[in-house]
Amino acid sequence: MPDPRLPEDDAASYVLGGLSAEDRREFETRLAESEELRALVRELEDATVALTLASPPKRAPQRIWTGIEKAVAQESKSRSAAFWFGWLRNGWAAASICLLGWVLYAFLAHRPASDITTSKTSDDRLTAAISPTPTQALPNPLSSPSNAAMKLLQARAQELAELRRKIAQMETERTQLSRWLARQSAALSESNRIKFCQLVPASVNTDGSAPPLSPGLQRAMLMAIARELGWFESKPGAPDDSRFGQTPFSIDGIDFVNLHPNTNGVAYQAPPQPSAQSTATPQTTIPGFVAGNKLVLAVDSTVAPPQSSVTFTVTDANQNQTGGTVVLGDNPTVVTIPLTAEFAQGGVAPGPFIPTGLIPTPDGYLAVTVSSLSSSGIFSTNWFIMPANP
Amino acid sequence: MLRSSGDGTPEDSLKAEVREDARLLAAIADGNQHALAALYRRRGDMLYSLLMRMLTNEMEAQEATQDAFVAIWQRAHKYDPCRSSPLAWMVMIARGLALDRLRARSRRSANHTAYEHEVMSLELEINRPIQAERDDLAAACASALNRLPEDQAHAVQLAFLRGWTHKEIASAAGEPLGTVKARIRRGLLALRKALKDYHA
Repeated sequence: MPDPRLPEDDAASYVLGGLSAEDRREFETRLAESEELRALVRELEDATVALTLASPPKRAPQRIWTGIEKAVAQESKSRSAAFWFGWLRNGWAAASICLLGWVLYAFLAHRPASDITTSKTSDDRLTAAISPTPTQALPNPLSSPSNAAMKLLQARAQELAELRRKIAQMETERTQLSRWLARQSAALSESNRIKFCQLVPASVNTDGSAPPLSPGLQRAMLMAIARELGWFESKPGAPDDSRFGQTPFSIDGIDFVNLHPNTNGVAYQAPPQPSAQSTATPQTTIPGFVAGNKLVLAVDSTVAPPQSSVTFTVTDANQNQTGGTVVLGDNPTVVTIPLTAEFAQGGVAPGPFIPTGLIPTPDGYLAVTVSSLSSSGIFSTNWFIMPANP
Repeated sequence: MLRSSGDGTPEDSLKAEVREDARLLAAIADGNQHALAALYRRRGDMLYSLLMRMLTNEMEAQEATQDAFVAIWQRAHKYDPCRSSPLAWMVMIARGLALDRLRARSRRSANHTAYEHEVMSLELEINRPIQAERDDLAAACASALNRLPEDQAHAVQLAFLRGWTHKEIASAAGEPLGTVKARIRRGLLALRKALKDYHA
């Protein structure tokens, strides 16, 4: 009876997978130490090749390779994704992109363009490689180890070209946007452009809540805009600036007053310091707009009582003051106040009427002071602020 | 085609075959899919034939062949030419996958009836008319298998193709374990010798 522990028997069991886990570990230890045993195992393994070859031959259907190709392509993608994720995470991306860019540049600079263009995908090429074409020799991937690298470079070159195209497109869009922005900025700085604003009492400006406009002020503002746009000129007897300059004028219940020198307003002088000052500060918003070198405001009885003498003072960047005094009637009044050229260019100073604690922003504020003296002798002063570039 | 058409001796031809397989495996380890395609062209039919014989089911054999080449793609970097020949390494991968499928089919009962049934199916398969042309080497191997004593051939094929252990074969055949071990060892070595003689 043969010895059941003969090394040859263990080797045969090992090759055929018949050893238990423990016996297998023990045999592998012996295998590592014995060249003779390793040679025996090799011989027995070759016998399994003979057994395989003895199997009745069958032709493998094409679909097997198709399945292999798909599985391998899918795994390669996963492998690639894992590789790139780790690569990006480790921060090698930037350095390698630079290197790749340099290599591509060198490559593209020394190769004809036709070599770079490939019409087939790698999958197509692989399918072509396995297809039985006896006259066409299978490309030997090992005889030219640089082939794979070359194909990779070509693929990267295509990706790079696509990226360059996108960058160029974005560059064009950026240029167009810059031009549009420049045109808009230029349009904003045009002197004849109307810039709307609301003069909000300084006491409420900081919290952003402006008191609502009265209906009279809204109508006066619309009339002022219509006049600024020249809509009245087609109306027979409509006032122009020269006529305005001679006398106050009323259109449809709205009074127009121009404080330019030599007009119907009173030349600017500092408001008088009254002996008594009202503590009741009107909480109203004065609507207006800046057009060229003038500030147009609409006021009514919410700003000062009718028949009050109201003085407007505007302080510009150089502490120059302009303004004038009007006597309010019963109608809402549109007041045109001249501005200095400095203000028209955007220069602004806080001025002496900015309340303590108000911090000018980098854009600055324009201070507009409205002092009123009522017919009953009550004096009040309110300051309004507006951004330098409304 | 296993035999080259060059002018060298059969021994040279064998070495060239081994070198080519090893070269392709090394390229596959580097991620070269063209090398995998080339290896499939060289060895696809052979492994499929083995798996058909083991699984006796076309669909399962096709799936197992696909799995085997995917496994070769995945494990090529682990192949050590000092430990086994490329072909033996690939055969072991394919056989392992087929044995997994055989085990998954149902729990095997290693009794005498099952033994007789398996032996008969192996006989039928090996004696079936050949559908594709065998090359000289395959014919020599088949001939060597047919020349083995019947009990050796049965034991070797049951162990290799069906995954029966030595103990299972001994128990089902009603033979001592040592006898079965010796039969398998001798059978394998006889096949190895036939292969060696062919290339000599």
